[in-house]
Amino acid sequence: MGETYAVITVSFMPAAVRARIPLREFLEGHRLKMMGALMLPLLGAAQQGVAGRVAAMPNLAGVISATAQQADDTNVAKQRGLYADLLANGKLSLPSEVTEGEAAEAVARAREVGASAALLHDQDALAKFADPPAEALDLAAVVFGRYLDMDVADAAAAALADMAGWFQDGEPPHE
Amino acid sequence: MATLDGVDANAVRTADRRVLVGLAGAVAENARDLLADAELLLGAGRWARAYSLALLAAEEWAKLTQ
Repeated sequence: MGETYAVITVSFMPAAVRARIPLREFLEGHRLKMMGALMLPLLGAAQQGVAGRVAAMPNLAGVISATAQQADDTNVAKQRGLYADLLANGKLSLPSEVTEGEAAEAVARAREVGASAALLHDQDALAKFADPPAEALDLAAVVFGRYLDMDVADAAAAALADMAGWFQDGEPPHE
Repeated sequence: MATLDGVDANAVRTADRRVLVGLAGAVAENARDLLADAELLLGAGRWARAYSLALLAAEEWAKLTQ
């Protein structure tokens, strides 16, 4: 949907209607994406060492919260280089304001993300994703199910802790 | 979601896992291409578009994990 058309449409709506538009849905979708980006390296296509990777992450709930915030920020930021916009604070946002340094930093960060996603350019790893063990499927159901139900970083962190315990001690994760 | 506009949610729900993994491989390649374009634009001094394409590349890789 063209942003201009959307703005014009909104401009015709009564204030009470505008207030009820579910503008958050889009951002929440991105939050889920970023959650997935965090989960994937941990699961590592059900390879060995998951428990160690989880244990090596201090303040896991904080990491998840930061990831969700990053998703929100990214959604706004990616439009900055494409569109002229009017921000919530009343200021104009113009693509020409993007500096060389900001562009270089964004490219460098994308390279890092790409490097962390190397698993998904690995045909052997993709084959494992296509045919994962049942335990990995059960685990994913618990981790994502809990996050979707509660939408709380602490819950996702707890699920990951369960996951680590499961791999280490054979204790199944809690529903 | 912007990067999932072309993906039918019901099709995703019912698709065979191998199909979804194939999608993931294709998305990964697209992310790599987006980054390559961002690098080209950065080298050409087109900072605004390089910036957004770099963010889109990162987001495309993230999309794989849904």
